[in-house]
Amino acid sequence: MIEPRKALGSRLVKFALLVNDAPFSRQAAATALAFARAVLERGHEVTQVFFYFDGVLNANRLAVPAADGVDLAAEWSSLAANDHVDLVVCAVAGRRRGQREANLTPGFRLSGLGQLAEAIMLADRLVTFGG
Amino acid sequence: MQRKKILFVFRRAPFDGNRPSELLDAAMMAAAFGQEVELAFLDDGVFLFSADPQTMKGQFDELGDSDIDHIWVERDSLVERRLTLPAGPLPLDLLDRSELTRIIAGADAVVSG
Repeated sequence: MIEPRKALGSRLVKFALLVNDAPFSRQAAATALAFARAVLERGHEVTQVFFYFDGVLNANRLAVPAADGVDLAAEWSSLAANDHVDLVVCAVAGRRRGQREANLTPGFRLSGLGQLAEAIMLADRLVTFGG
Repeated sequence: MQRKKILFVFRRAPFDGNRPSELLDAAMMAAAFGQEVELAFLDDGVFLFSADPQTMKGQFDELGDSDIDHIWVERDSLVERRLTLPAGPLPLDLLDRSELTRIIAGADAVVSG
């Protein structure tokens, strides 16, 4: 018999999101963004979005999407500005992939892995996008 | 602050990009923050113990000295790849796929990579 996690009922929930994939290679980042918006629309809280592995590339302001494509970095940026969501990019994983302070999209910030640990500790639920 | 049980799930082979190494970094950091940290190795993640994971060898050597609470290895994944666990200093526990669902359900947070 598998014991389910404790049900959260109808109370407001604090979500932390972990985004593991690059914006134009897989669906994960776009799904994470849609999930964050849905959570906020229902009155819940997104305490932090942590970008790790190739997910750090979501913060690259030098990427230019196709004219008829979705500009995910700009969408994340808008979420940070309008809903005060903390967008944290792992600094070490970022450096490995050329993501530095100079090419961060506004709204994102670089920080250490300790931020992910803290986000998990403070949130009611961690939801991972991209396995 | 409440101490949480965090399960890190390794599903990729050691030669499949940098993910296993970075996932281990995240697990070690969570352990350093005083959380109850468990690791689970399944699918191609079981190659991390049987192959010669040069890229991660140093990190795995450190595991013995870290505060990781438990390391699970899925037996079915080993059998499917005709692998056996080498004798080593790390305390590894074999479990069946059906048991792994119980481990996942019992964690407060699951991080996979």
